[in-house]
Amino acid sequence: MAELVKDWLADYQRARRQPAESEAFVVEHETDPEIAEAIFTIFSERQRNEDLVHDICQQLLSFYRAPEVTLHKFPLQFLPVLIYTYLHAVAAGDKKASRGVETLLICIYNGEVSTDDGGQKVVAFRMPILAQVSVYHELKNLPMTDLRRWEENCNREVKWGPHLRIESINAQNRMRILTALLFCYNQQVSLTQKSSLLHLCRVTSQLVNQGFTTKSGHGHRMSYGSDPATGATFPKPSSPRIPLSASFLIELVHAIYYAMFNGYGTVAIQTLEDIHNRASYEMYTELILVTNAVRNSLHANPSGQPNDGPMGLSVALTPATNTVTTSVSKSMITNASFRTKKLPDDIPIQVQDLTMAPATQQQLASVTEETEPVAKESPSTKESSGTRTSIIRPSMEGIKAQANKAFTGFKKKDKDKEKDKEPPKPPQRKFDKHTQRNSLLQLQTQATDPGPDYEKSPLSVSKSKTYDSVADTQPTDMLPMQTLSLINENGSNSFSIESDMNDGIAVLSGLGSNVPVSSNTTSITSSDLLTKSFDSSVEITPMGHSNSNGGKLAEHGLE
Amino acid sequence: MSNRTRNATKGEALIENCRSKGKWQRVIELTDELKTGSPQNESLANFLVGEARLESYLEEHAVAAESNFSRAKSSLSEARRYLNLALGESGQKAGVALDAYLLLAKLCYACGEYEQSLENFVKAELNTLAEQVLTLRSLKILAESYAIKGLCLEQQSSKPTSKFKKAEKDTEMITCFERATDLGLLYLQEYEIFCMSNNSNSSNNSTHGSTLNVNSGVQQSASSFAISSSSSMASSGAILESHRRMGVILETALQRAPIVLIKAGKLHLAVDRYRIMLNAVDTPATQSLRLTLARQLAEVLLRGVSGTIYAPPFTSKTGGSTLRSGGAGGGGSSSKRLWKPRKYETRQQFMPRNQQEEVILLLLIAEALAVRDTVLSQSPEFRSVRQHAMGNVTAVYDLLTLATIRWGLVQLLNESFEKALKFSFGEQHVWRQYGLSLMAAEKHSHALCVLQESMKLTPSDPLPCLLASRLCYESLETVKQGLDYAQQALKREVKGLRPSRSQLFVGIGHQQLAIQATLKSERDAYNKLALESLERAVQQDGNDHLAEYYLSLQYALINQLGDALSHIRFALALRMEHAPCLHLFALLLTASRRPREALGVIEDALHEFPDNLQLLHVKAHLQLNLEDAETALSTVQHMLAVWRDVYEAQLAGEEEKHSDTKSGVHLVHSSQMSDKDSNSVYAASLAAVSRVEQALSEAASSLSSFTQRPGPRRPWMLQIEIWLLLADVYMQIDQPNESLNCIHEATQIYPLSHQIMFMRGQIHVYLEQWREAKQCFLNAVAANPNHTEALRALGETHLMLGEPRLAEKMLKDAAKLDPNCPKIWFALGQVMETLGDFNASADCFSTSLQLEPSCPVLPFTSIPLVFE
Repeated sequence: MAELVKDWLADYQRARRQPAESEAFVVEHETDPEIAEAIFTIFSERQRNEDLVHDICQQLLSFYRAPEVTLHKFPLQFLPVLIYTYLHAVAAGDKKASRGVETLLICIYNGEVSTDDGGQKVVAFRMPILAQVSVYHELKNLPMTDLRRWEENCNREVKWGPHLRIESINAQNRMRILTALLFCYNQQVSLTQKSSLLHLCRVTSQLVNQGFTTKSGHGHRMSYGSDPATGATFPKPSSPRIPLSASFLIELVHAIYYAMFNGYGTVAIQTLEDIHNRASYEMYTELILVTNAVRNSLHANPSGQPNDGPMGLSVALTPATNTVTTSVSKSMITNASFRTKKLPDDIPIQVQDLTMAPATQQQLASVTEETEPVAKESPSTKESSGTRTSIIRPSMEGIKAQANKAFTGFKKKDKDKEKDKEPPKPPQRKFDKHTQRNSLLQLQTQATDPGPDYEKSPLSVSKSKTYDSVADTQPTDMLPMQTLSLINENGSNSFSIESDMNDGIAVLSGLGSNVPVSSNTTSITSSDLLTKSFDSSVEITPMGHSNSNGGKLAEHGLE
Repeated sequence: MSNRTRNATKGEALIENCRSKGKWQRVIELTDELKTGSPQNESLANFLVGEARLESYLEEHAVAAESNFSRAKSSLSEARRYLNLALGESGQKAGVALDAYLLLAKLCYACGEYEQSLENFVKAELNTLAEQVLTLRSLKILAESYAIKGLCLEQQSSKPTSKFKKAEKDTEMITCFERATDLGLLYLQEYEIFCMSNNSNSSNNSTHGSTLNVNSGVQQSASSFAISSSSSMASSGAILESHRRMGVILETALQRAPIVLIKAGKLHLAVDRYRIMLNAVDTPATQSLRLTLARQLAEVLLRGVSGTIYAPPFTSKTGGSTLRSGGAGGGGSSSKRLWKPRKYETRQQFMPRNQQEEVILLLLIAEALAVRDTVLSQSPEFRSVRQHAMGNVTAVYDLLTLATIRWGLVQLLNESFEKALKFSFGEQHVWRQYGLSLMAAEKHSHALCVLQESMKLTPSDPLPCLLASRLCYESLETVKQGLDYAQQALKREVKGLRPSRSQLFVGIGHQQLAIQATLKSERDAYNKLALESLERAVQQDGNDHLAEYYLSLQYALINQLGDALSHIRFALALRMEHAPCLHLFALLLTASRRPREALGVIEDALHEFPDNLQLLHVKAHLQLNLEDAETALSTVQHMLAVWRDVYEAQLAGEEEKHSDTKSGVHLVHSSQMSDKDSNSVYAASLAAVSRVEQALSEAASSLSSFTQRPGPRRPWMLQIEIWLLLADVYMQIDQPNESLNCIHEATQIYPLSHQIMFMRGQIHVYLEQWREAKQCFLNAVAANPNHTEALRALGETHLMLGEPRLAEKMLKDAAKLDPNCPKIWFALGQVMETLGDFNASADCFSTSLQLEPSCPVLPFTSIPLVFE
C-alpha cells in the first residue's frame, strides 16, 4: 500500500513539473480506483506512516487547488477520515501531529464556504407551503387546515451560511467548521466512489465509540490520591472520548443514511446504532429526533428496508384494495371525517327569544347528545351548578346569543329524536351506547351524572318546555359550547355530532379541568377542534365494544 | 376496439356502461339477452362472458400470488374457453379479437404463465397500436395490458443471451411500464369524470342503482339530517369504491415503473417518472397512490440524490419536452397527447428549484394526505387499518424529521406532531418525538408534560426520565422534581448499559439541593448524598469527564480543595477543552493561593474559547484583584463587544443556529436572578412580601418608562452582569460617576434585579452616603433574602451608622447562609469588637483567617450547570 501511495506522490510531483504529463496524470488518476483505497488504508494505519500522512495531506491540498475538476473533487471523499484523524489527535492532546491535517481541513473549509468569485457561499431554499398550488398538488384535494398551515412562512428563506473564513481552529469553532465540512461532503457524496462509504461508516463508528468501549476505565488511575499539587503529568487514558456536537452528528447521520441505501445497509445500520447510543448518552435532543426517525423507519413500516430493493423502495399496495370492505370503513372515524368550516367572526345577537331554562342550557352546554337527561336534570343540578360556574364566565350578551342559539338547536334535536326511535335495531343496546357516550361527554362539564335518567328520554321532549318560565330568573352560568345531535342513519350505527364551538379558549379550559384523558376523547379534544372555531361534523362509532376507554368512562357507563 | 362502439345499440350501450363500472354479474345477464336478441353477435357474447368471468374471479382472488396459480388455472378454464372462442375470424369481424387477446394475456398472467401471456401480446400487436380515443373499459384493458406485459418481462425466467438483448429487453420493459402509468392515470381521471356524470344521472335512472348507488342513496338520506357529514362520507365511500376500480395490477405497475428504472441504474429517469406521475391531476382513486409516490420520491431524493447531482423538476430536456409541450398545446388536445394523463397546469404554481424545496413540499403533501386517512377509532376491528394508516403517517414524519432538523426547522416538526396526537393514542414513537421536538424548540414546560406521557408508554426506557430530569434542572428550576426523574431513570437502568448518566443526574440533583438548602443539617445531608452518588458515577464510568467535574465541584463546595483539585485534573485529562472544567480549575487555584497560575489557566482557556463570557468574567475579576484595574477595564469592554457579536443577531430575531456559544454562557446563576426562587423560600412571611414589594416598586418607579427588552431573557441578564462588573471596575479606579452610568444602563434593561440594587449601594458606600447605601442594601435583601453579599454589606453599613446590634443580626444571617466566606466573619468580628465581646470577636477573626486562604475569587456556585 505504502509503495502505491509513494508512487502516486512521485508521479504527481513529476507531472507538475511537466505540463504535458499532467493531463495524462489526471486521466489516469480518474480511472484508478486503487489509489483512494490505498490512501484510506494509510490513514487507518497512520501511526506507522506518519510521514506519509503528512505528504498525502500536502498532495491532497494541491489537488484541491488544482484547476482540474476531478482533482479538485478528489480530496472531498476523504473528509470523514481526515476529520476523524484530526479529532482523534486533538482529543489525545497531540495537536502537533495533526498540523498537516488541520491545514488541509482549514483550506478546504475556506474554499468550500466561498464562491468561485470570492464571495460567501450560501445554500438557501424557499420554504414551500401548501397554500400555494404547486406542480404536485392543487388546493381542492387537501384539507383546509393543512393548506393554511405554515402560511406565514410564505417565501421564507432557509439558509446555510454565510460562513466566515477562518485562520485557525480552536475549541470554540472546531465543531462548527467540521459540521460545515461534512455538509459539503454530503452535497458531493453521490459523486464519490461507493467504496469510500464503507470507510465513512467505520470512521463514524470510531468517532462516536472511542472511549466508550472499555468498560472499566481505571487503568489510568495510577496517581489517584497522590498529591495533586505537585502538578506531575497525568497519565492519559489511551483513547479519550471525542467531543462532538449535535449538528455535526446530524450531518453524519445524513451521510450514513446515504450509505445505508447505497450498498452498505448492514454496516450503516450498525453505525447508526452507535450514533444513537452516543446521542442518548449526550442527550442531544435534535440528534435523537433524527436517529429515532431513521431507526423507526427501518423497523416495521412501509418505507422499506435497505435491502428490500433499490434504495429500500418496494411496492406498497393499499390494503384497502384487498381487505377492507366498504361496510367496515363506513363506521370508522378517520381524520377525514372531520370537516372544518369557518364560522362568521361574530354571532348575531338575537334577543326576542330568551326562554330557555338554564338547566337545559347546561344540558346542551355540556356537550351531551340528545335530551334524555333533561327530564330530571333541572331540579337536581341546581345545586351542583354552583360548582360548575367557575369554569367559564361569559359576558351576558354572549350568553343571550348562545342561549338562543342553543335553544333553536335544541328544538331541532327534538325532531331528530323522533326519528331516533324509529329504527328497528334493539333499542336497549343502543341506549347503552348512548349512555357511554353521554357519560363521556358530560364529564367535560359535569361531575354528577344522572345516569338512570336515560330511560326516560322520550319524555323530555315535552318537559323541556316547562322551564321556560324560570329562564329569566336563573343565572346562566355556562356557555352552550357544543350542541350535539345524534342521528341514526337507517341503522348504520353511526352518530353524527354537530358541534358548535364558539369559544375555543373557553372549551380548552373546560376540557382541561374536567376531562380524564381517555382514548376516545381524542376525537373531540383534538387540538384542531380546540384551537380553531369551526363547525365540525363527526362520524362517531358507537364505542360500546372498545375496552380501551378511560376508567371513568366505563364507570359512568355502567351506572 | 373502437369500431364496436360506433354501431352500438341501446343494449350494447348498457353493457358498455356496466363494463365500465365493473358490474360483471349484470354483464353476464345482459349478454344472455343479447344472445337471444341477435345470434350473429355470438363472438361478442363469448368475449363478454369470458371477460366477465375473468374479471369477477380476479376481483375476489389475489392476482399473481404463487400459491394461487393452480387454483386460478382450474377456475379460469371456463373464461379461457370463452375468450378463445372470441378469437376467430368472427371475432375479428366483431372487433373483439384484439381485446380478447389482451384479456387472454391477463388470464395467463393470473395463472403464472408469463411466456404465454407475452405471446398473446405479440398476437394482439400491442406494440403497434396507434393512439386514439378509447372507451373507458378499453382504456383500462390497455393500461393493464401494458402493465402486465411489463410485469411479465420482469418476471420472465429465461435470461437473455447477450448484453445487447438484455438492454433491449430492459428498454421494452421500461416502455411498457411508462405507458402503463400514463394510461392508468388517464383511465382513473376519465373514470372519475364518468362517475360524476353517472352519479348525477342516477336519480333518474333506477336501473343503475347497484353497487355505487346503494351507498350514495344512504348518504343522501342521511344528508337530510346531518348535512355536513354526508359529503365527506360520500367522498370516502367513493374513494374506497375507486380503490377497487384501480385494481392490484395497475397499482403495482404504477409503483413499479420508477423502481424498475432505478434498478436499471437510471436514477434521473426514475425521478422524472415519479414527477410525471405526481404532476398528473389527482383523482379520488389516486390519493393513496399519490401518498405512496410522494413519499417514495422524497425517499429517493433523500437517499440517493445528493446536492450536486440534483436536477430540478421539468427542466431537463427529456422530461421538459414531454411535459411542457402538452402545456403549450393548450386546450386543443392535440392527437399525440391522447394517451397522456392531464396535468396540473396553473399560473404561478410553486416549482421546486432545489432538492430541499422539493423534498419538503412532497413531504408536506404526503403528510396532509396521510394524516387525513388516519383512523381515530380505537375499537379492535379497526386495528389493522389503524396500524396501516399509522405506519404511513409515521413514515412521512420520519422523513420530515430527517429533512427538516438539519435546517433548524424544529418548529415545523413540532406542529406536525401536535396535530398527530389526535390519532396517536398510545403510540410511543410519536409521543417521544413530540417531546424531543418540544425540547429542541425550547418549550420546556410543555416538553416536560409530553415526556411524562412518553415515560408511561415506555416503562423500561430511562431516556425520557433523564431528559425530563435535565429539563427540570436546567430550565424549569425545579430541582426536587428533577431529582425524582433522575432516580426513576436510575431504577429503569436494569440492563446496565450506561447507568452512569442516571447516577450522575442523581448526584447533580442532590448537589443543587444542597446549594439551595438554608438549614445546615439539610445541607449536610444533601452534600453527603451528592458525594456518594457522584463517587458512584465516577466509578461506573471512568471515562466521563462530566462526572469527574461534578465530583470535583462537590469537593470544592464542601471545602475539600485537595480532592477537588485532583478530580478536576482527572476531568481535564479526560477532556482537555472543556470550559466549565477550566473555569472550576481556575477558581480552585485562586482558592489555593495561586491566583497567578489561575490567570494563566484562564488566559490559555480563552485561546480556545475566545467568546466565553464566563471565562472573561473570571479574568476581569482576577485582573481587578491582581493587577491594576485598567487591564480589567479593557477586559470588560471586550466582554461587551463579545456580547454584541454573539447575541445581537440572535436578539434581532434571527436564530443563530450554529453559534458556538449558544446558551453555553449564563453568567448569572439563574437561582440568584429569578425572583420566583427567592420568593419561594420566604413566601410564608407576609412582612417579607411587603418588603419585596416596596423594594421592587421603588426600583420600578426610579425609571419612568421601563419597557421589557425583546427576545429571550438570558442574554439581557448577561448584559446586566457585564454592566455591573464594569461599575465595580470603575469604582476601583475612582470614577464613581462612570459607575453610576453603568448602573443606569443596567437599570434600563431590568430595574428589578437585586444585584443592581446591591451595586448601587456599593457606590453609596464608596461615596460614604451611608443612609442611601443602607436603603439600597435593604432593597437588595428584600428582593433576595439569600444574597449574602448584600447581607454582609448591610451589616457593615449598620456598623458604620452606629447600629451594631442590627449589624450583628445581619452578619449572623449571612454567616449562616455562607459559612465559608472570610469577609463575613471579619465584619462580624469587627461588630463584636464594637459591642465589646472580645472573645467572640477573636473567634470570628480567627475563623476569617482560617478561611481566607481557601476562598476563591468568585464563589464556586457561580459556574452554571453544564450537561455536556
